[in-house]
Amino acid sequence: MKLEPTDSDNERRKKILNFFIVWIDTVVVIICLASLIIMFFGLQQDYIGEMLFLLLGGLIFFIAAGVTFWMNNVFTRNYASYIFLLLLILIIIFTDTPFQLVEGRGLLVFALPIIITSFILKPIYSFRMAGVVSIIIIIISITINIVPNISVISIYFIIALIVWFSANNLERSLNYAKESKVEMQDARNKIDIYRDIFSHDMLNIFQNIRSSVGLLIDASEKNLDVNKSFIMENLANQSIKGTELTRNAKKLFQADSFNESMQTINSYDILLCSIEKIKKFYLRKKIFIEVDSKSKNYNLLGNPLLINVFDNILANAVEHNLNDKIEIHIRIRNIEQDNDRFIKFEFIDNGIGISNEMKKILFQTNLKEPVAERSIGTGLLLANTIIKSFKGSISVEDKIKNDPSKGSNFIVTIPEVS
Amino acid sequence: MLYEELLYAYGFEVLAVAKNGEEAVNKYKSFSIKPDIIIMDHRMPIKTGIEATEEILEIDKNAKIIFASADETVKQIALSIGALIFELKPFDNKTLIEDINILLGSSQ
Repeated sequence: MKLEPTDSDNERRKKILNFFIVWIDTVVVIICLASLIIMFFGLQQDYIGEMLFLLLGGLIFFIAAGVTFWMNNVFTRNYASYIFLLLLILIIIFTDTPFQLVEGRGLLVFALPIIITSFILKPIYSFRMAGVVSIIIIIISITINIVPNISVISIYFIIALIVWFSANNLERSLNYAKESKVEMQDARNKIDIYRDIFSHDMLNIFQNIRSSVGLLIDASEKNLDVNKSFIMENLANQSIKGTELTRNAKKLFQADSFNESMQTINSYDILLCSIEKIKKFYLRKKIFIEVDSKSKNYNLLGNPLLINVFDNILANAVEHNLNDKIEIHIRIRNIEQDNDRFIKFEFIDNGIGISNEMKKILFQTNLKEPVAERSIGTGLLLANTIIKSFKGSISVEDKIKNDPSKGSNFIVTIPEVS
Repeated sequence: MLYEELLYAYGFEVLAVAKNGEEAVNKYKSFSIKPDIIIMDHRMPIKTGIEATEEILEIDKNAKIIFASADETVKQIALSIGALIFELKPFDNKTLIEDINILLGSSQ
């Protein structure tokens, strides 16, 4: 039996039940074989009747356990568990005398179903089984006119308590291991995707530089008619893109530490810094950014990484815009959602917009291969990751409803701190 | 667009440029005279280059597609679905021009 941390509770209990069925079946087979050998060599002639009864009982148990094993693996584990426990109790009852069951060795054997119950059903069920076993002991005791042994019944409940505690701890440890494995796998997947996007985008930048330089060389050597200023500007843009890509990738690789050093920060001040930064960055572009807010204090629980969110949304609005005059309207409001207070930022641009299909996958929670395949840049990926670490959300809508071509409205919502 | 500039400089005419795979397919459908060559990127919004190539080849199985990507893992897929040449980025202009000329059946 191999228990894996990734097993669900049902799978784990199924494996344990299979183990117990095989184990107890093996014991029954050994006993039956031993009985056959004894009968074959003519030993213990006085007990031949009891041995035949034992053989018959063993055979019935063997077949019934086989059916239970099949049920456990093909149908439902729950019913298979109950049938197995019933079989176990029956075999305990029918293989010993009533007196031995309530006063002798049977008392010890009755601990077995209590222990097994907690592992194949829920841990807490060990108490139920202790109750069932106690009732059986009381009934048998009354039947043979003996006072039920209260101290033994108490021990059953103590066994149930110990087993419940052990099984509970085992389940907790396995669940912890499972969660850790899932988290580790998730982190590994994220790193693989970040690395893939980074290397892909970097190679695209190199491609662009190589083609631009090649074109400039050919233009001078072969007198090709090219727009040199356009190519030079393209080269400058590629260097900016490369710088931003490297910075974003560096931060994405540190995503696990995003929720460290959380403090109350005024997002309004950070937004103004970001606007200044973007205007300086795209000095040659005509950018008009208007901020519409009711206050100059919008406090939230976050860290200075917030500036990367604003930088990337604003850079996205500038880069995906074919107009001479790039217009970005930023609206900030306090809103209430489900009795919680939030700060809502809306970045409305006059860019090329985002198609409906793209909107669906742009900020999907689980990073999957299609994200990289469909060319989601590191910028918005970073913005999404940071906002999630602040317990906020990000989405995108059309500037004008049902007309993606007129521009986008990026909506960021982050819990407010009063 | 840099590649528009580049192809014009080397004497080719660019019929259209698409921002994503879906736009590429739609533009291809709308052409009354189909282009001699399509240069297809892979990682694009909405529809990938592979998806767009498949759709274009469904419309016209004789379409000549040069598939360009920085992702080497799609090379086999691209060629198996019918792209004629795979260019692994970063490639130089000379390679691209030579490949276009090979597909056009002429040399410059």
